[in-house]
Amino acid sequence: MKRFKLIVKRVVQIVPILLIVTLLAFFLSNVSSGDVATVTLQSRGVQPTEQNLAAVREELGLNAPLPVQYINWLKKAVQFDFGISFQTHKPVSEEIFARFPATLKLALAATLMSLVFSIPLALLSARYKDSTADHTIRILSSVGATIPDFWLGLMLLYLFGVVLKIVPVISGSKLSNIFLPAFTLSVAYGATYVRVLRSNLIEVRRFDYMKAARARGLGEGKALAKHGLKNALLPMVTLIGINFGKLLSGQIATETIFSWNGIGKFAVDSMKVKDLPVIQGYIMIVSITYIAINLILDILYMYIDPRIQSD
Amino acid sequence: MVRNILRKLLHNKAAMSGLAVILLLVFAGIFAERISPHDPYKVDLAVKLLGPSARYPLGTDQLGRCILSRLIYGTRTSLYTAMTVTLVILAIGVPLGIIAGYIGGAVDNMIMRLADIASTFPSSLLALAIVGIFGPSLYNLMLVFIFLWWAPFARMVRSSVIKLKETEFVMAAEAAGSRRISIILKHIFPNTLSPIIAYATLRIAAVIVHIAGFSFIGLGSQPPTADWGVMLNDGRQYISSYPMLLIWPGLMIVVVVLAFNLFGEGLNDALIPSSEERAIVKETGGANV
Amino acid sequence: MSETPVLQIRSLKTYFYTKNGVVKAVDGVDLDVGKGRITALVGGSGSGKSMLSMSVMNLVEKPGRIIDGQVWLNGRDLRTLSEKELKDVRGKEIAMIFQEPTSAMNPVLKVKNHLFEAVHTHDKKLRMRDKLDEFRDVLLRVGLGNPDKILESYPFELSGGMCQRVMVAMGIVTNASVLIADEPTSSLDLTTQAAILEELLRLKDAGMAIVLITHDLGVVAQTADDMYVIKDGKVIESGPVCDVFASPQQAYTKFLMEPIALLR
Repeated sequence: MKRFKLIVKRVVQIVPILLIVTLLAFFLSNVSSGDVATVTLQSRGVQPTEQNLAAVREELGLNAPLPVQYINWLKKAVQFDFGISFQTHKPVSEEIFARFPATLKLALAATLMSLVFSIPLALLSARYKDSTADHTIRILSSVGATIPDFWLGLMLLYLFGVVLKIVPVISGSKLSNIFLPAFTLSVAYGATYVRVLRSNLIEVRRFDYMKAARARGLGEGKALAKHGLKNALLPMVTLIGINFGKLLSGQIATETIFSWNGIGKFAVDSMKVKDLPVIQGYIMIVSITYIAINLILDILYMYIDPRIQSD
Repeated sequence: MVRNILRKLLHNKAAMSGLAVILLLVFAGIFAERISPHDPYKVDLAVKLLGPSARYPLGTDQLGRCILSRLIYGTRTSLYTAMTVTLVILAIGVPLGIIAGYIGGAVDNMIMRLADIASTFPSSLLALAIVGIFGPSLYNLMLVFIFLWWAPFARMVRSSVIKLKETEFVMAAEAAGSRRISIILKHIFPNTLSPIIAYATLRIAAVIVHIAGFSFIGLGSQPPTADWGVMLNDGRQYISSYPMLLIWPGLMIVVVVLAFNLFGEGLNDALIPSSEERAIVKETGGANV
Repeated sequence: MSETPVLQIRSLKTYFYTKNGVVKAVDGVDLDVGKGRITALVGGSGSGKSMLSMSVMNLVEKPGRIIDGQVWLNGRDLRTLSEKELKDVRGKEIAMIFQEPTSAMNPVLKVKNHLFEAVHTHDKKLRMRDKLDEFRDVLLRVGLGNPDKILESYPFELSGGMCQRVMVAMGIVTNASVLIADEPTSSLDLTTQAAILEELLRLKDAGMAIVLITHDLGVVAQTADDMYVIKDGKVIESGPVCDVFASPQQAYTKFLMEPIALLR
């Protein structure tokens, strides 16, 4: 029952965020430089004149008062109808959904990679606290968290693409090329996870159940991995999930650097040519995904942490 | 007390080297005209893409502009933007935090709800929206971070106002006839200032990285501005032939960010005695653009 | 005590090096624990009796350090063993029941996983499903009805007393030759306390050597064969329980016995 109430509370909290997002997206087409009717006509390859401008205004419903326009726009938006891309002349949602799998793959690979790096490093660091290994790992994670991902991406591309010639400089979104962009993204996240996980593990180490596990004959490392890790990872689930949501919203810089045809690159490319319907669609779709992930996380967390069930 | 903090800070080598780099860069930014060897905007295709020489210490870019001069002017852009944004988010977050904590109830609820929204909203989304509406420029980009990043400051201030409100000396002073709000204001700053200063220093670093990142993808500063992000973007197509165009601006960003982080963490350690509170200030980090 | 004791401690010293000086938690303790006997360690809180058990297991954490002494178990000095050899001793030859039952269990592992870990650590070939019947049986013996439900529970779903009984069960399933029980009955009601003590007596009859750490002399009188009175990390009085009870030599022992004298 308590769980249900929590979920309802979360859903209610989402409403204002959705309102802001939809208003932003809606005003994007209204306030932005250039009259919508003119831009629409130009995108159809028609020279704007007084008559056809009026006709297009009527057609797009631009003569109605703003609130009515907003409601109309919203009605279409909930059906994922964001109009036609000026650039490709195809429905916006179709274009975005076509690129979504690439972004999803990249997000999954980056998350997985960041965990694969960070868990063993954090365990090592916490197990041998204040040793040389610990200090090295801590410095590495500080550096990892400091290097901006866009520069790291460029440098990796230079190293592996230009100097070592292992990967093509212009790669495209083939799965075989996923390693570098995923690694680029995983460094910053992984560095954060190492830090958080290390301090969680050190915290956990003080608990009696760790001593009890040792008294049962588990080695210190094993006790840490078996009893410490799960307890230390639980509070991180939210962080990892939120970061996954961020990754899913399209990593514009990384996708651009590695010519990875995901939604982030699509959005920024569209921005350059003022393809407003695409930007609108992107903002809506990404926000909804992001909100959904956060909601799922909250619910998921209630199930993974057994402590919340019984409260 | 102050002497203690200073001593602790002065003995922290990492923090001091961070501060030295920051001071050096601030100096470079202020006196950019005097110390730059060339005009950072002067195009001269006759000398494009040169290697380092006595005339052009770091060489020239694809339009024959002096890289060193552009880097120095970039310092000005970067630090100026980051410090302005940080001051503005302080100016928004601190009063909102005081109001939320002091008044409580529905007002508190509303401010905190706004803070929740601000801190969960992905900055790239807002950046695309704002740039889409108002066009790409550094100032529009600054708005994005002003809208989103006041929230943690408001939270920090709010929680210490609430703590303070319930302490006995505030109640006692109130009973003695002083107004509670003036007592709180008088005591809030000594108590909350430390984590705020430390956190703000770390935030400056974050603003620098984010602004450079958005300028890199074309949503911030526009060419030909001498901006590190713009320089990186310009240099991208020369990755195979002139990688130095990419290495210098990137190094500058890393050095500045590292300097602010080191100094911020040094401040953090010196100003905040308990490690619990310190943990709150630590960045959660993550990739940015 | 005709047989050689299973566990012999000789001049054991564990010191804590803190900013405010050296704390001598265990300061030259000699102790014999006989097979099939219950040996009680009695003392107030902070007397060092719990640290003594951690020292026996060689699990003293910084800033504490064992600086001297021998711990003979079945003819081997534990202090000379490597960490790897010690891992085989812990939980297999010496099992421990911790004082704080709720915090000594991992909140995210079910009871059955705790019980299974106690045995699986030392025998990797074991399967959970082969052990469940035994676990149920042991849980019933320590007075936990409905063992199926208990096995599937998380520690925080159980009361403190139930956790304590699970801890005792974990000590039992190891089948160790020495069981160190740190206040195993402190948070239990009298009925359950009696069930646990009875189970300890049964284990003793089966040949286990039991170290019972307690501040409750009533419990000692009921169950223990030998007793050691510990104060400030030192043994100040020791001997068969009936002798010590008949004529306590030290003022501290008399002081500890006062509540019982009153009851009589």
